Amino acid sequence: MTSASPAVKGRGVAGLLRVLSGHLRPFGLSVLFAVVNQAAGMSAVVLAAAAAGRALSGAGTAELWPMFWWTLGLTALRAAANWVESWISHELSFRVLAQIRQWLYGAFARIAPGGLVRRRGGDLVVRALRDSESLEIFYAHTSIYIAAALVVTPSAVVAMGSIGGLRAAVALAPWLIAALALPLALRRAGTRHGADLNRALTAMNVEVTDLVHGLRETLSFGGGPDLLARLRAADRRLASAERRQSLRAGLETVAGGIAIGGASLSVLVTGLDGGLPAPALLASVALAGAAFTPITMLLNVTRVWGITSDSADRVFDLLEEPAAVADTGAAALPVLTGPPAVEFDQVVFGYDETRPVLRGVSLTVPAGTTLALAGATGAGKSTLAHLLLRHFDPAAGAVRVGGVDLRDLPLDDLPELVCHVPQEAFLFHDTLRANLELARPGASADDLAHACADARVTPFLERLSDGLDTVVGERGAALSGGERQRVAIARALLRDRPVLVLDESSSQLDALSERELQAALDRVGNGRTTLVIAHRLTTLRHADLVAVLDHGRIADVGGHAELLARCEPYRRLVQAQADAAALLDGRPRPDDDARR
Amino acid sequence: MLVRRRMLKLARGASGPVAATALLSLCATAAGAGQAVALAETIRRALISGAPDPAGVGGPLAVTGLLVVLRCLLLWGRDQAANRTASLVRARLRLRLADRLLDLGPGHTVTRPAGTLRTTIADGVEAIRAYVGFYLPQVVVSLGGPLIVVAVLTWQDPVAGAITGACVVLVPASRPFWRRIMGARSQRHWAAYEDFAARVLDALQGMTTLKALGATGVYGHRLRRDALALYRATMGDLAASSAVYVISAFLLTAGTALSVVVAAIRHSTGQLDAAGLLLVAWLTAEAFRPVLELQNYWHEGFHGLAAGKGVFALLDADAPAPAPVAPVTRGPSNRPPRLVLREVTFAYPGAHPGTGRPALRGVTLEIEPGTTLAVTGRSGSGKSTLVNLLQRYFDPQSGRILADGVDLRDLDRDEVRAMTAVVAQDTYLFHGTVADNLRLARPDADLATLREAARRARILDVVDGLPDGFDTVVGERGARLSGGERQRIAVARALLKDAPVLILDEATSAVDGETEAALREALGELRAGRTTIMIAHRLSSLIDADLVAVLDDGRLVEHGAPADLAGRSGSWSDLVAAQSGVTR
Repeated sequence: MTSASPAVKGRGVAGLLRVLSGHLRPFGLSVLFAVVNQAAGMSAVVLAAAAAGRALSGAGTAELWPMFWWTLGLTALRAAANWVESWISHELSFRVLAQIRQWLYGAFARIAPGGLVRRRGGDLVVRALRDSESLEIFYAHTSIYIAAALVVTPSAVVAMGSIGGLRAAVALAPWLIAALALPLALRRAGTRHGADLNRALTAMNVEVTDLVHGLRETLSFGGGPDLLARLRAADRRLASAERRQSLRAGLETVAGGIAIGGASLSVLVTGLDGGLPAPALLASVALAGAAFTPITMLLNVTRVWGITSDSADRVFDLLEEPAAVADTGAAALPVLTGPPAVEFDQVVFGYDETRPVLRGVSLTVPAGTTLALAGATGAGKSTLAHLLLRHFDPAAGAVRVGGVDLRDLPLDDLPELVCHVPQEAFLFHDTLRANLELARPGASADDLAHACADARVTPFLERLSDGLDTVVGERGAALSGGERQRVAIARALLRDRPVLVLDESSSQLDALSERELQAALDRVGNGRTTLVIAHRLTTLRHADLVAVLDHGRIADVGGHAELLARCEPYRRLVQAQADAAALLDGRPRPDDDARR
Repeated sequence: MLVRRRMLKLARGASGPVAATALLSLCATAAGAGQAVALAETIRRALISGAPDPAGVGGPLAVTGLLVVLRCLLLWGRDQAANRTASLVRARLRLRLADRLLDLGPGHTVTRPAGTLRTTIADGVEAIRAYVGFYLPQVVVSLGGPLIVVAVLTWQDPVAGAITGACVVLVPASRPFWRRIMGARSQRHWAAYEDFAARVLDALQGMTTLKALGATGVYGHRLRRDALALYRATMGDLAASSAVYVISAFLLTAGTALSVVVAAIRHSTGQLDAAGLLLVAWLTAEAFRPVLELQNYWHEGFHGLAAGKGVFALLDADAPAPAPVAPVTRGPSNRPPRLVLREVTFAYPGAHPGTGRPALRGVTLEIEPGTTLAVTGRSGSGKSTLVNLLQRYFDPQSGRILADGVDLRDLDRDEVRAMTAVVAQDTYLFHGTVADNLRLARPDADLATLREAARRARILDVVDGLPDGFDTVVGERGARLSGGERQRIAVARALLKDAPVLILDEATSAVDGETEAALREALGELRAGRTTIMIAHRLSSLIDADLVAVLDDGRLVEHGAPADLAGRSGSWSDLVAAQSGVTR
């Protein structure tokens, strides 16, 4: 699913239709059977009316029975066509949805994670998928009805001409146009109402989210009545958006009804005026009613048009979202004999231009060593890691690995060089084995066993019912945070890349977990150039070097003990933990040690 | 038909509007029938008089036109009434569910996936809205409308009436029949389809990880292959389940067209007069209109029924900590209580991970008023459970928890909640401004009070740095604050709430060292004069406690002043060793 989405540049209908261009065969077949379905249905009704007309004109039974069999045949044909149409159209929508998902996958692969940071708010992924699903009705029904109406409706006018004469056809046509035109004229309002409705629904969903996810806080602070009042207000807004939508939709119903009635009466009056014989008269009046079927079916499904086009807009927006970094590099990967050095050279970066996060950071992680980044929240630690992973590119300066500027490498090659253990390791809702094998497809049982042992996954494997074949649940819910992180480390071991970026979990771990994690980290850092975003004292102590970030600049670089002695910002950062450890351990305070 | 007795009960209180909607719709059907009758009469007069007689035809023609307009107006009214009904039902149901959830309390959300609850209260209620507002009235109409029309038809010509009547009955009746035959296959199809959708969701949410592992290609390929396999596996099912349409399409056309031809044949044999034939010709279609509309609302019916399951599950849920029958009050005092746990054993109900195994086993603890108890232990050892019980999200299965000698179960629930302020590991920020989020704890606080609380919680600089300061919108669709910042907001809330019991559940886990040191001072001030329960792993937090309790697998294994415990070998000294980086 990595294929880049082709240029779906159009908006609304045009964009939606363009997606169809890759599925012309099932689309064509669906339309064909829809046309047969509607035409056969219409013919059966017209034929029956003609039969009634003939009977009134005194036709005998012998003349009517063939018409019965014809009507029966048309009825059967219609039923069969209906079946095939609904089957193929669902197949079509299934395929188109698969395609759109594939494009979404490609779009997310392109913009994640840098581009996602920009699109804050809401659960983007859930919304994108929901939006793409709401397009189902367009592909399974709307698009087909549009095409079928384009064929069947003019044919009905022509048929009217041949049954009731030119005058009858002329009497019918304006009503058909009116029935289609008014809803189209109201479409703009429909789109606006759809957007209003979506907004009101979103606002309501925010309140519901507050209710469910903020339940502890709400109850703890006695905020129940207030929250209920907010729900009530959101409901009122939603109801008023629906009222507007419903008034407009009602108008469309009225217009449709009047047009059908008007057409029947016009054709009737024209026929009476022209002295049409009974069979033609009855057939033409029946046809006048039946001719609206394609349009009515179309209007039924386009009633939710506003919502569909709104969803389509959001999906297309996402497909067109530019990547956070330009993938223009073409250099070959550096040839490495050992782990390469990582170098940040005068790096400047900010998420928005007014607030720089890194203000000229120069830092080298010597080949094969572990450097821990220390600093207060917001000092720029994670941002520095983001740049090494090329989630973003620096505004000025360069990031180099083994002497190669990362921007010169193709983006797809970066994972060959750098591996990332994120703070919140994401596990897929699959077996533990599948989660590990992602890092090295085709890994042998031995590889997995070693990685699990080294990353200290083995100790909790025993607790799991099916070992490596245990399904870890949604986002790895069956495991604790510390366990998930160890799985992420096992992945890094399996990846076995020369550079490692380790975003240490900031949440507290219990003593045993902490020790196991440290053992795993020691193992994975071995023989690699490692950049750690450190939160724990033990990590800082174990690192070869510590770099202290302070307000987007490097305050100092050195060993833990050195920094304690000479770097005030560092001392402030670690003092509390160091003090407590020393106090309870009955040893002198580290800074006393250093000062002495 | 997708009607269940319990679903009807959801319409209770809105039965008037539902009936009005159905009545308007029935009147529209009657107007449609009248329209057909008038049209038939127009044609009869024109044909029988031989030449068009403007005077004779004019009357019924005008009536037809009027009925066309009347029918449209009735339909319009029906649409508006349906919409009103739907809104009414939704507002009531959603508030009822919200009320119910507030009554069940956080215990319910601990044991059930919050996502499901959110779906029920957000999307499920919308589905019920459409079900009660649109589907149910249409069911009434599809039962009543055709009955009227078929009765008129039968009166004119029993044979045509019988054919139309049979088809009208069989169209809706054939669906469940087919569904029963196809049901299992179709369900399998949808289940597989939804599984796959969930996998795509999973993949998109894990995209950052896939990219980091260089696995976007591999995973994408796998998804594409699975999509193809799913597609192949379900196309057969889809073909079969689409067969539902064959019968209803056949019956529909047969009912409207074949019955007319049969009537024509009967006219030719003299069994039906001209008026009767014309009436049959125009009226049969009216019998099917309500049935067809019901099919248009099939989605509303189906989704409504599906949503009903979630709604009823919430309405029927057992309260994990029901309100006391005769609530006792501890008195209006704001003085810190003496908290006692006596032989407390507790296992989570329902689908909580680790069900069946008690999360706490026979824990006995006494926390003197105004002192601080620190609780530590491995993840899963029961720390969070202890906190859940102290806030009475649940009641223990055996043993008791007492505040100043009163069982929490007997205390007024509002009082239990007012008694404690919590600073949790993760704090939820509501959609609203920072000030709104702080005022939750003290609604009447002025800005100066809020600023002072923020200053003491070491969050003032952060808030002042936000685009609109205290008026910056935060929460789900607003600015995001980091975990550490949210924790400090929670500290500010706790300061504002000023409750006699303070629960610190890994309260400083997400702040950096410098902030932690400062925040510890603030929490130290906050603890003064309060009974505090503190869950922590970091030694830097634990040493502030008067008493440390170490939990292991639900049992209290160590218990004493931190300095006393340091001397012994056990979990506590392990902890010290791990964090100070010393191996013993």
